[in-house]
Amino acid sequence: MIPNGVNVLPYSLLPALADAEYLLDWRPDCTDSVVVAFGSILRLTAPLIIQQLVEDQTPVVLAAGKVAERL
Amino acid sequence: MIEDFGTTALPYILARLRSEHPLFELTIETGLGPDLLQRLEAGSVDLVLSKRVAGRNQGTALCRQKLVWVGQPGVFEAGHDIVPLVLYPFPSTLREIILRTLREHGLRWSIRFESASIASLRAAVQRASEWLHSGSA
Repeated sequence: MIPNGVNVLPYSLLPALADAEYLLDWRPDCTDSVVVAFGSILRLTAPLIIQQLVEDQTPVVLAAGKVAERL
Repeated sequence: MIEDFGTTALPYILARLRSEHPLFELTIETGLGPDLLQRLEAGSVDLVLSKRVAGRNQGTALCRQKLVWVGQPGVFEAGHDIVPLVLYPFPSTLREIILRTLREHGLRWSIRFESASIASLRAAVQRASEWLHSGSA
């Protein structure tokens, strides 16, 4: 997810940052089946997609088919 | 949903959801995580995907992301005493992480560009050398 034309700056230049975490939060009383399905798909696919994006470092926007290929 | 996820993975996820629930109706919004979590507490949204500081959260953890500093070569170098920043606006989690880190290390900073749009932030960073005078950094 690093844009083209920019570099990662070394920690000798600036201090290390804390890790961030992607989290999914639900409204406890939500029973809508579509929302539940959407959340389930997010839970299953988001870690893979995020990992892929971080490893590749190049794509800024991926089309749906491209992401599907990567999975 | 946080915007950086919305601009990358969302089309694929929606396509898959559509195949499983052809008649679904879903409203998806992107925004800053803390704002979205407030709306979840208020009951105006059902589900929030957000990014927070790792290790002290409720919710279902999906994955961790290592944060790094990025910039065009030469925009900030050793010897510069003020860190020029391109940031999401308050109350962004990433903004909080960055400013707290600089504060804890006694570093000075100057917020030179802020936007809630990740496309604008990317463009500002990618072209910083054209609009950010490195001598002031």
